[in-house]
Amino acid sequence: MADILNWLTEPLGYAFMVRGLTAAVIVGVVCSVLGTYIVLRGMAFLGDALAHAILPGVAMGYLWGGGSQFWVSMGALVAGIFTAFAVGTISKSGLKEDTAIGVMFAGMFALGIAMISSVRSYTVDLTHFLFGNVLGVSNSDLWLIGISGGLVLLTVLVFYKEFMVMSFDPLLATTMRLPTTFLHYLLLLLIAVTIVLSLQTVGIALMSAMLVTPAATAYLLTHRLPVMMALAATIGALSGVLGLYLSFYMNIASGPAIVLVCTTAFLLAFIFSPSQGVVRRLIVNNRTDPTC
Amino acid sequence: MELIQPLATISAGPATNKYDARQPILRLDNISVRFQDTPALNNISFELQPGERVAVIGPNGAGKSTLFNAISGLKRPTQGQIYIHGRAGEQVCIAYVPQRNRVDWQFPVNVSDVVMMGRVGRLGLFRRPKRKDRQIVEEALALVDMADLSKRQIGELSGGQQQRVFIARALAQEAELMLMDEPLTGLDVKSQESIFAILDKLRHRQVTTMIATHDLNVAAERFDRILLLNQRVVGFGRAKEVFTSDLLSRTYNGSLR
Repeated sequence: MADILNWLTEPLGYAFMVRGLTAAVIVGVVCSVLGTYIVLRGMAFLGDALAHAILPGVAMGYLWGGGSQFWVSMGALVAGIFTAFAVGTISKSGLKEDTAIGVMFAGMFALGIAMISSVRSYTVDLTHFLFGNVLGVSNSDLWLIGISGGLVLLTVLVFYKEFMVMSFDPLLATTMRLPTTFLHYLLLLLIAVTIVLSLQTVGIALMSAMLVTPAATAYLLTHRLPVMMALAATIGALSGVLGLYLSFYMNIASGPAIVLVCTTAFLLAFIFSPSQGVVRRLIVNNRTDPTC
Repeated sequence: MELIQPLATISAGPATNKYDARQPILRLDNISVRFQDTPALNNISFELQPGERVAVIGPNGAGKSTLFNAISGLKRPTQGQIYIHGRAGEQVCIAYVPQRNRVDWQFPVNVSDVVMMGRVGRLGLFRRPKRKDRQIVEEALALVDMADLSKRQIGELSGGQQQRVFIARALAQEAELMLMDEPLTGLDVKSQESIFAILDKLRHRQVTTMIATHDLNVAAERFDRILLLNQRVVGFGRAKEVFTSDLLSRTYNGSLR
């Protein structure tokens, strides 16, 4: 018993671990709540693309602001918003949206790598951006994450019913005269902000896991949207904490550790979900189909 | 209850609580819709009276869905004007019941969640549903006989039940004109009967319904008037007036025997 307690409390003796855990919990909650809409609207590819497309903004903010996280975040946000609008504009030309996303995703990512490759400490910086470094989160970073995360959650709460209608039935949203274009771009803005605030915790390459996996896990466990959001947030936060403990004790990189915990939770739900799991489907199929 | 009477009066749009009852509920004046260079609807003109039930008949590609989209404001006509209660550009009191295959039945919402979505337009931004809204939802569900299943996830319902949920949602929208895109397709006779029983109740509330269907027999038996559509209005009137071999063969480009 004392061992377990010790196992739990030891990392808390380090200030960097406390800051990292706080960041991981906030990021886990915000990504998962917003991820609910990403999963329900089938925007996973766009989420992944936006995460990668912020790289040139990150690079510019990094080079220009002398490494300050604030300027990195601002640059990333601008690049994210630009990409979202570019995808919208290109898909109006008649090309399918996923094609537009593919074009912008690769182009922006390449631009980012090209910019970073012109700097001497190329690989170190790039790894940092790609995979995050939650244990390097400073107090001011934490404020930035907390405030922007709070704003995202508040916006989701305020526009909850409009986002729900728009996701479930865009035709209804239009016939009821909801401001659908505004809501669509607002959602994209929220995704961009969420990606930026998660940058240090999971990094660009693994971002889509945080945006998609906890929400997908929750989807398998409930039939109600508010419950799905709450479950996703819980799974996201717990994965953040558990991932960091694994990282601390097993010496695994923090970002991948968090994502692997999320993925494990998903697999468990996929197999054992009481309503939609593989095990239940096997049992039900055997029961209803006695002839085979 | 309170809701049962005033459906036709509350919902004539924000500035027009009192509309002119002598006006037709819907009037299309020379509507044309084109997609890029392809015409979908040409010079459509007709009027509907409050409480009427009209079947829209036509082959695939005749523009039935386009017509509904234009009426409900989803697709802007290339030419012409649509009048609701004699006024242009007020399509708030129109509800659209989508084709069943256009709905994500796995979406995590239950029956009463879906019906409550019909209130969102009336609520406006920043407002949460109040007791009155919940009451309207309950009454709408009772009217379509779905109150018992209000907590069911929508994917667990039968086809007829799913259709009834969307009719209840149109009621919660306080719609005066309901557009239904092939609601009867794939339903067994019993489910079709229950839909018509509900449509009869709606008629008592002066709710006008326009229903796209492929079933000529049902159209002849159950509707006040029939609109034969093939990119333009081929015929519009009672079954015995429009179900002539000449008009039908013009509707179906001569392919119907």
